[in-house]
Amino acid sequence: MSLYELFLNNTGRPIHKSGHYFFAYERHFGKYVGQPVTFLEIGAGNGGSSQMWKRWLGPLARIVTIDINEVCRQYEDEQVAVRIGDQSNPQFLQTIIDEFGVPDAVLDDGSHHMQHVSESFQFLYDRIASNGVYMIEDMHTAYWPEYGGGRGDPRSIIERFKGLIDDLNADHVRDGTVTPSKFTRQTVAMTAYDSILVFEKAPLINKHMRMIGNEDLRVNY
Amino acid sequence: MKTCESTTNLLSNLMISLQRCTLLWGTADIHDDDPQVRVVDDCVYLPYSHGSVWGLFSSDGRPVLEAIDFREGLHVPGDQRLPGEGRIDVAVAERSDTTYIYVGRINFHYGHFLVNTLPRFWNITKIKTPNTKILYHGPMSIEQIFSTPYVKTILSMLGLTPEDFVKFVAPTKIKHVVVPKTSFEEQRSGYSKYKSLCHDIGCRLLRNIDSSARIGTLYYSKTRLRSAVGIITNEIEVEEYMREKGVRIVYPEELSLEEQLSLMSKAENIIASAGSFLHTSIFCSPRNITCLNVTEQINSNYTIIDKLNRNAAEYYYPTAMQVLPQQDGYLTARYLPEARAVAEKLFEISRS
Repeated sequence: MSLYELFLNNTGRPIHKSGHYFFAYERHFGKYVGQPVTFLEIGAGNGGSSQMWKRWLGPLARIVTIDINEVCRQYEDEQVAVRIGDQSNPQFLQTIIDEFGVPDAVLDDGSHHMQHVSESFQFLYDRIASNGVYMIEDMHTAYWPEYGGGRGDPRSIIERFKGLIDDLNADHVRDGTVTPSKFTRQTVAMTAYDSILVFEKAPLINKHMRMIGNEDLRVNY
Repeated sequence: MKTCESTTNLLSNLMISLQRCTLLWGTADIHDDDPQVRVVDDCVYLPYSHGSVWGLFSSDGRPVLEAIDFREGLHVPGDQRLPGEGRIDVAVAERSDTTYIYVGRINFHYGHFLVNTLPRFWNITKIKTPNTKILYHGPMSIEQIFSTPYVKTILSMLGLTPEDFVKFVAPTKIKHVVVPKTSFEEQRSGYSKYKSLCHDIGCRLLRNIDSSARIGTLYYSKTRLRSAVGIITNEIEVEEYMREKGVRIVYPEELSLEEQLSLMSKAENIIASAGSFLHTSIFCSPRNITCLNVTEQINSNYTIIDKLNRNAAEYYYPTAMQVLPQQDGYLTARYLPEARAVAEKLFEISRS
């Protein structure tokens, strides 16, 4: 059953998602289905989503859900761990890593406030698996002032994402205005969807560009 | 009674003379193009040392002129000295880990921050990526700078945190430094990019503030300042007159930046003696300003901001103003004869 079907057929705790998110989920998290994986979900909602992830990812998946609301503890089961704390608190996030190890994937569905989103990303991105995926959803809030956003507002994660595109491509910047960074070396892809941002890491990124084939057949110079 | 009051006014008007200031100390050119941006490779950073040689230098030892905050386009800041001819011959550390964006000397005194520091940030949101660092000079650590509330407020509106900033304590050779030229040349010129920068900051700060309510007239008072560039020793007489007229008295040093913006953006008229608090208008929509100037000339920094912000601003000099011996805490002290009459005139002018 596809993740989207799991969502549509859900009769348990409620899940609040936009339909097109499943296009992104299946593309970026699909590689974890059936695999041993530590999946960190920021924001528990009503508990339905952690069950959905468990059903989709399979019996080897450890779902770790964090939320600031104590009531969310009741969502725990044999595969779902719930910890209560602030997603923007590095000390709290470190306790999660200490307890469960390095997350393979992160889905930030927490407060959706720009400050919290940025601080979680700032702390976690360097610490997730070297082939990990970091996804932030509901980022329409990046355009909303009440969430610390606004179009062109440098505090918004969308503006940060735009800047990181330059860091991703820093190897090719010739005027010295950007220098390759750790982010450049560990990030293989950044993907933007309506309301969703995705970062994908790789332990080795082969950027060696070659022309391969019969040189005699080359006509277009 | 009315006749008696009119006569008093007439006498006062005869006794005092308010001269509309038109002469500038400095120039006030406005540029609509962008300030230059220079990338300096193999740049040498000499740490801040008050009154000594510090700044950015190219690999051949010459000062990076775009990195210097010249006053009137000529004068090097008082706390900075340029070296003589020749190389900067010092042992240096090296940095090639990232690109640095240079923002000059961070000066947390309000007027200097707005006129000297903030103008370097005119394109920061465009050129800074999350992994580039902001390089600065100054005696303060960035933690100390961010502990100044209005500085923290302004920089955070640009999405900047202390972690974005760095300064070096030893001479350091840096692979790449981006040097945006200032968008406000002190007492010389201003760039419309500076206005855009401040306007954006102001809009973000005022987002959550109901600015529909109007305030008639504000009077910015220096009577509670414990130190300043200059004071009028009997300014309290002006303040009392304004208060009697229903003018709201503002002591800007007691307010947060958000509170200052909120008040200033709602005020129909602003009366003040010249002070850096008037520069706050650059964050607001165009303001009506009537200023009591303590000299015949207007420091052109005010004019630059008025022009950039399209303020309707007039500056008046009371010709009877008297200079007093220096007092503790103030560079200059002055006495204003017929202070109430001057206040009355300023009030009338502000409403005309």
